[in-house]
Amino acid sequence: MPVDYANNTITNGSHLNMLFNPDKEKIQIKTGPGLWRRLVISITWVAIAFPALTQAGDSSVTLTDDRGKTIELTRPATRPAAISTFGADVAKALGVQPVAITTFGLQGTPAYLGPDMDKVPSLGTRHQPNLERLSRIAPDLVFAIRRYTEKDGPQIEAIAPMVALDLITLQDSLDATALAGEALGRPQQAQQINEQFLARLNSLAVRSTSNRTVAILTSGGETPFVYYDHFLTAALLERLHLDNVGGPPPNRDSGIPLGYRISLEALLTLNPDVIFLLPSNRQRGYTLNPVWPYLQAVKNDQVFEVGQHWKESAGPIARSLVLDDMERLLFPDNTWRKTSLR
Amino acid sequence: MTRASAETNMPYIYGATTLALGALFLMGLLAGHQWTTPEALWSVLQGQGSIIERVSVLELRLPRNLLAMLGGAALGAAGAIMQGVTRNSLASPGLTGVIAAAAFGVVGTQTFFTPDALWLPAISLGGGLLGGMLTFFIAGRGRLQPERVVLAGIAVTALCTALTTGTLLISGSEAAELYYWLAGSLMGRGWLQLKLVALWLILPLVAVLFLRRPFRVLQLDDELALSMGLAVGRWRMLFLVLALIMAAALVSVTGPVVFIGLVAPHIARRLIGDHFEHWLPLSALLGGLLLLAADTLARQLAFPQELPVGMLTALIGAPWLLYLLNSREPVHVG
Repeated sequence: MPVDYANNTITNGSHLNMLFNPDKEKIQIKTGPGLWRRLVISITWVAIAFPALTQAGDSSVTLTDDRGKTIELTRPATRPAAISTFGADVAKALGVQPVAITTFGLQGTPAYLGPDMDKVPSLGTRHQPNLERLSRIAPDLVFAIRRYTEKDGPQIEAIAPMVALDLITLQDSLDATALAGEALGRPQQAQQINEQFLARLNSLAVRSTSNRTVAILTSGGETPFVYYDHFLTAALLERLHLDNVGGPPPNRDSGIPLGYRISLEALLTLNPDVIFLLPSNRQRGYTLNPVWPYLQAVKNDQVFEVGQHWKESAGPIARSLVLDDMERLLFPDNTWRKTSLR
Repeated sequence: MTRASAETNMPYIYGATTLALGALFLMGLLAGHQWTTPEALWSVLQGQGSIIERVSVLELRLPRNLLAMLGGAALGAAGAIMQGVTRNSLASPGLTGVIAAAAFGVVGTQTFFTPDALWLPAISLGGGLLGGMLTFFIAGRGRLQPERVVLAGIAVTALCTALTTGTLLISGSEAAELYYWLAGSLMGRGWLQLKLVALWLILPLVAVLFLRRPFRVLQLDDELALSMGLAVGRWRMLFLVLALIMAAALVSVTGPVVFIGLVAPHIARRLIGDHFEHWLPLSALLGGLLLLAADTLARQLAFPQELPVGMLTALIGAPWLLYLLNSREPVHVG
């Protein structure tokens, strides 16, 4: 992009001119000590803005989602809709405001993404999104979870191109973030987010020396549901040298099911050192069972209630918050550094 | 089976059923994520053994076995009442609308009000009792005709099932939990649930066992029963109320457990011949045996997970139903 340093304006593209000089008045070159300072500021500004602006340029984008389907976009998406909290999360992390979101567990809107999410129209639940509303909103891309939207795929794709993602494992999260970076015209930013996350995970893993066992439980009934090793949050715990008692999944290729109903007797035998409880809107039935107090984690006060972002943790912001929680709860002796993306 | 030979065989039938029940109960105490040896079980019963063995046996397996045995007995007796009173060989406790209404009570309340788990048995029991009363209200004109009870029960069941399905569609993140509950299971049930429903199961069960004589007379023709001094309508109502209380109480802690109330009375009916005074107690014994067997299997078949016991009882009951449809055995004294 040519820059007219003599006049201190960018000459290519009216929208860029608007950005840099809204009144379209050429800045007069002044002589004296201020000239060099202005020149240095301008060059720095352009140097910072240039990569970001070129990332969001008009080049077409070709994506391959987790169905193996190729999606062609004539230009990077600027109005993404999220039929999964991941879509809203990754869009926000990449600096793009989603135009529609689905409900986030029991909370309705994903509060962890900030108060501006309250203003984003809701499509309802991710397994039954309101397609009529989606149609009225007219997004230019839809981020969806494959297993929830497979049946509605053709209807959604009649409204806008859709990328259907698995969003189960750590690798799914990394791949999906990279794909979203491509889709939103910010591949380098997405790559940087992934690299930073992995670097932080590795540094935490180095600090973690314990070989504790752990269980991630959900359900409000009498029988808890425990997640397998491949589920993202369980996988993160494994990377931190904790042994997930849920064990390996029977179908690693499909990733489904995510876990299973574990009997309290089996849980007692496996006796995890740490238990994470995912949100429930009522008192959990299994915690009322006489067996509950006998669990090692309960006796040692190592049962932690965590937020919905543990259940839908594939987004860059959510997974970073999960790492925050793990660092704070599992390594309380270490100084907690607030490094989340928010 | 002739009347005389059946009478002679009754002690053996009771003895064999009780023995099988005892053996299954013992197996239920031993079977688990890690099987307990008989020696370890003996130690546990003497207050010794490791903490995991003690907790597994005394806090998990024992109350669960008792609940399965008691609940199965209640379902068996309730099924015999339903088949005897309505004179319909395909009748079961669910036919009063009680199970569907209890299920709707739980699904509806969890979707709209999200109460704590502790409240669910009470809600389910209340729903079941309301559903049963609605059935009797619709059916209850004059002498409470069996056909009207059956038709009213079908109508209430259909209504509650439709409402449950509609509610599940809007239950969002709770749907998976509710579907699991609707499959019927004893998993995770212990002393807490047993205490909640024990009286609701034991009192009606004891009552119906004491009321064997009027129950036997109810199997006769209405005019004949009336001539013997039995207030047919009132006794029918009493038995049906006792049956629906037992069914609603069990469903409230386990979710819908189907077919035990259908199969147990049929097996009992074939074993007792014309000795209707044995129908209720033997149905209760067999119901307990069947549910205990199904639950013990449910704990082992899909290790380390557990199958919903309602699914297993349906697997046992469905072929039995098909068998019934093809058989022409008499089902009541006409």
